[in-house]
Amino acid sequence: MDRIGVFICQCGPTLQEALDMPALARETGRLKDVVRVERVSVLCAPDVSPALVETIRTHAINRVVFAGCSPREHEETLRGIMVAADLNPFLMQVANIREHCAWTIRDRMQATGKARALIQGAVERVRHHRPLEAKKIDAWADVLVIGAGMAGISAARTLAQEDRRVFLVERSACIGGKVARYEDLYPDSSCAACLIEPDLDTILHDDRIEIITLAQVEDLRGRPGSFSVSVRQAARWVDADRCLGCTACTDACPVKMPDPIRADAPRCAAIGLPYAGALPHVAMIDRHRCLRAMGESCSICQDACPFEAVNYDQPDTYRELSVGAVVVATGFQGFDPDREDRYGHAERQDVITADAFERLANASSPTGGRIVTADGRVPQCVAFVHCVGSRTDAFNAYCSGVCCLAAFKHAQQVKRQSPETIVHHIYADLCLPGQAGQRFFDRFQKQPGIVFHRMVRPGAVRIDPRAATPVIHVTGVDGCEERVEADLVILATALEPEEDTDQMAKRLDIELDPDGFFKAHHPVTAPVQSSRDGIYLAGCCQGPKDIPASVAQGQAAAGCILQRFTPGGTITLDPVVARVDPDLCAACRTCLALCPCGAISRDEETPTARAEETLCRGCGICAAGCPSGAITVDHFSRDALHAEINGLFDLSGD
Amino acid sequence: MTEFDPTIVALLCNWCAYDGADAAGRSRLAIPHQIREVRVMCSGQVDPSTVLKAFAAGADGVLVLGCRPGDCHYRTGNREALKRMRLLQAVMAATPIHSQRLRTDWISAGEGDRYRRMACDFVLEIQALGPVNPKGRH
Repeated sequence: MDRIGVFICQCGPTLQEALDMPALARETGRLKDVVRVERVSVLCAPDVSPALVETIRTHAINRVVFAGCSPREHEETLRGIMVAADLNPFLMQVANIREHCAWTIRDRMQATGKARALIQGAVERVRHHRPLEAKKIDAWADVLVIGAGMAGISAARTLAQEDRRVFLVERSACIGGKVARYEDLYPDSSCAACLIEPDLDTILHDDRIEIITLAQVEDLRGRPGSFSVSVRQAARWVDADRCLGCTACTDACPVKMPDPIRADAPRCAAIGLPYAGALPHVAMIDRHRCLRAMGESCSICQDACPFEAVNYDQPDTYRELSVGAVVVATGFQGFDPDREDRYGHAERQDVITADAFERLANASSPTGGRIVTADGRVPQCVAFVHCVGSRTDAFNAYCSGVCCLAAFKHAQQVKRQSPETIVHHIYADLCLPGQAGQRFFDRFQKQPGIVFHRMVRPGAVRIDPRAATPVIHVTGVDGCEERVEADLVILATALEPEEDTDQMAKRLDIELDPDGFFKAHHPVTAPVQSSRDGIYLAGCCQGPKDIPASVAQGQAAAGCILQRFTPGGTITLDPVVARVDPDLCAACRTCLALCPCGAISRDEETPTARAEETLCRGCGICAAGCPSGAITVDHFSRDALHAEINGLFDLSGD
Repeated sequence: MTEFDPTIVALLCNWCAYDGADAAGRSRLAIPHQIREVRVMCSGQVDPSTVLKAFAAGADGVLVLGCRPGDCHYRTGNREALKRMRLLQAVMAATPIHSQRLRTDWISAGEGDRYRRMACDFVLEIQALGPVNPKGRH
C-alpha cells in the first residue's frame, strides 16, 4: 500500500510570501494515500535531513514528494534524504513550486492553485515509480586522444606518465601538428624543433602510447568509463616497420606535381615523407597523385625501395577501441583569405597567409627556410596585414588572440634574415596579452625600419590583384586612404575551427559553440570538459589559443581523466534506461533506427529488440516510437506521465 | 461574461526547455498561471498518446518544447518530436480538437524570456479558440 509523504519547502521566506502555505499543506493532506504533509523551512539544509528521516520512519512513508525548487537544482540532494531513510532513491518525485509557481506567478491565489496542481501531479506520478538500482560496471582506464598536435601530445604524455594506455589517433601521416613545422616560437624566438622533437620522440618510443596515423574516428558509443570507438585507418601503402625514410622511392617516382607553397620549388612526388623531418619518419603514398592508385600499372617505387617496404595491397583497416575517456585535440585551421577578394590572395603569389609563411620560413621548406619573394628575391619591403578574418561580423566576430604576436614573430624572422628590409604592420588594434606579449612588442618595435599603419577597422584594406608588386590601400582612422607598397604581404589570418569540426561533433555527439568550436561544458569553470561527460577538449579545437595554453589544456584534460578513471575502478550506471518487454516486441526494428546511442540491438534468436544498459542514456525516443508500446523508460514511463497529467487536472489515477 | 481561463500542459525536455522555464523563474518573469509544466527527458520521449491523454484530462492546449534544432542532448530527439507532432496534428484535423491546440517549439536552456513570450502567445491563442468542447465538459 502506498504511504506517500509530502514535504513542502518554504525556501526560507521566499515561498511563504508568494504561496498560501497553510492552504497548500491542508489541501495536499486530503489527497489519496498522503499520510503526512510537512512544511520545511529549507529542504536542502544539511541539518534538516535527520528530522525528515525521522518523519519518514515514524509514519512508515514509502514514497515521497518534495515540493520546492526545480529538480534540476536539488534532485540529487533529495535522493540523499531517501537513502538516509532507507528508501530507494527513485521512489520520489519533485514538484517545482518555486521556479514554476512562486517566482513566476504574481497572484497569490493563482500561484497557490498551480502549486496544488503540480503537487497533485507529483503525488499521482510517484505511485508509478519502481525502485531502481544503480549498477556498477568496470571502467576502462585506457584513453583515446584525437589529434597529435601540441595539445594532444601533451595529454598523451601526461596520461602515459601515469601508466595509462593511450590511443593517439591522428588524421595526417605524422605527429606534431602545425607547430612541428614552425621555425621559431614567440616570445623569445626559441627554436620550435628543439623544443618539440624530443617530446615527439618520447611519444614515438613510449610503448604505452599507440599512434594511429592517417586515421579518423568514425563512431563513438557508450558512456564515461566505457566508450566503444570505431576508428578507420587509411592504408599508407608503405610498411611502417620496414621503411626507414630513405626517400629512394621519392627520387624514383615519375609523378612530379607542383609544390603547394612554392611554384619554383622542386616538384613533389606521389610517394615520400610528408615533409623532411616528419615523425614517424616513414614514407606514404598520396593516392590522389599515385599513378597506380589511378589504375596504371606503375610499380617504380616498389622496385626502388631497398627495404621492400612498399605494399600496394595494404588495405584500409578498421579498429574497435574500448576506452574510458576521450580527449579531443583536433586543432584549428587558418582563415582562407580567398573568401574575400580584397586581399588579392587568389591572384597574387606574393600575398601569403601566416600558415604559408611558417612553412616558407621553416628550414625544411623548398627554399631551405630563406624568406624570399615568389620569384626568389630577398624582399626590400614586407607588409603584415592584421586581423584577416578576425573581428568582423562577415566572418569571425572574435579576436583570435595570437595572430598579432605571431605576426611580430614573423616580422622578427624577416628582420633576422635581412635587417635592411622595411616591415609594415597594418593593424586596427593590437592584442598583446600575457606577461610576455607587451615586452616582446616593446623590444620588437625599437628596431629601425618598422612602420605602423592603423586601419579604421579590421579588413579596411584592399590589395590590387593586378599591379606589378602588391599595393595595399589602407583606409586609416581619419578616413583617408594610404598606399603601402611591398614585395611580400603576409596575412595574419584568423584561427578557425577545422573544416570538419561539425562532422566530428556529430560523430562524438558533442556540442559546438556559436563560433563553431567545440563547446566547453562551462567556459569559465569547466573549460576542458565537453558537453558530453567523459569527453574532454584541449587546444585550439575549443577556441583560439597560444601554445602554452594548448599544452596546459592537454595536461588539464589528462589530469581530469587520471583523477576520475583509475585502473580497476568502476562506474555507476544511471538506472533510468529503456527496457524492452519481449512479450510485446514485434521485432520491427523501428527502435534500432531511432536510438541515437546505438544501444538497441536485435536478438536474432528470440527475435526481439534488446536495449544495452551500458549504452542507453534514457532519452525515451525509442519508447515513444515503438508501435507496440513494448519499450518503457523507468521513471518516465507512459503510465507515470499519464498519471502526472491526470493529477494536474485533479483526476485520480483510477 | 468572464474570460475563458484555459489550462495548458507544457511537456518540457529536461536539458533545454525545462531549464529555460526555470530560467524564467530565476529572472522572476511573469508566466501565465495557466501553464502546467511536466518534465520529460527529451521532447522525443513524448508520444502522441501522452498528448491525447492531456487533452482527454482537460487540457485546452499542449506545448511540446525541446532543445533548439541541432542542439538536442540526444542529437535527434527534437527532430523525432517534430515529426510525430506534425503527424498527430494531421490526425487531429479530423477530430473536434483543433490542431492549433498542439504546438511544438524550441527553448534553449537559459532562454527564459523566449519561454515567457511563447507561453503568453499560446495562452492568448487558446483563449481565442475557446474551450475544446464547451457542452461536454465538466
